[in-house]
Amino acid sequence: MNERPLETSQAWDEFLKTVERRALLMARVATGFEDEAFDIVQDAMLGLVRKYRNKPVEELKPLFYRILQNRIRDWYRRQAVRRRWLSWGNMRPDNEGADYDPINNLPAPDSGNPAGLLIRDEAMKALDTALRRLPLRQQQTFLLRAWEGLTVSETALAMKCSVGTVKVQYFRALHTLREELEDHWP
Amino acid sequence: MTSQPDREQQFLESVRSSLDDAAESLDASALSRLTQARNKAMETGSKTRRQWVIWPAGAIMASAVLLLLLSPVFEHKPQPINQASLMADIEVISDSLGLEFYRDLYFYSWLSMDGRHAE
Repeated sequence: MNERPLETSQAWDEFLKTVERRALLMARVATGFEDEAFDIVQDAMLGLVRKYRNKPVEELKPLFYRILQNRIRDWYRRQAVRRRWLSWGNMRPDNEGADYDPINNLPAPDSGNPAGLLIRDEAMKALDTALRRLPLRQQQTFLLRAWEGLTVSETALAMKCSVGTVKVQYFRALHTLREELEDHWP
Repeated sequence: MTSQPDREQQFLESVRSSLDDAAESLDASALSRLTQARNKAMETGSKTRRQWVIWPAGAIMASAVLLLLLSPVFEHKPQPINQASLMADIEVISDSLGLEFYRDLYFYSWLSMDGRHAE
């Protein structure tokens, strides 16, 4: 085995340190719940270590975010099922068609919960609210591209979608955020 | 006057800066939970790695044992049958005295020795 366990382990630790805070905030924005966000991040870390143990550290970032996004989508699916059972089918919009994506169209979780730790000042509060209002796919695409700095193709890998979809989702998110945050960041 | 791409870039910088601030200002409890999550993941990784070391080692050991068993050192050569001993065995089995007699031969031999000592 040509693996160098100690150095590899240190490199992995360093890698996880570089992504964990952003991952936590992305999961918080997506779910609106702190505990859920922690669970999602921990699951993503475990999944990465189990599945991609032999990958070079330089290739890990998009793979980690792919797992994180999978976990977030899984969480949304579970929430969707719960909501459907609770509201007995009343949550789906009237304009539902063949292309309707229940995950993409789920309303953002209530931003008035204790997980709103992004809130530091008015601008931050507005950004937090605006991000949470975005459809999940736009929200996460925007965070991965604009904040985490993934390339379009890396974002497509993480989001399990085409490069074209990433561009469209990012553009829509950016447009919406600029409109909503115009008062704070013109 | 700033152009549209410039304004977009400024906007993105502001968003990034705010999000970075939020990430940097996570409280001690959150950081501790993240450290625990990371350690757990790393621990799981090292356990899995140890299993990967054990499996090939086991496979190598099994192959070595198999090779030894198949090697000429352990080759089974059929022993030539000793005709005399075979005939003796057949005689014992088919004898009218029965197997018990031969089983008790030691006793009879001891009895006769004992008798001689007594004389």
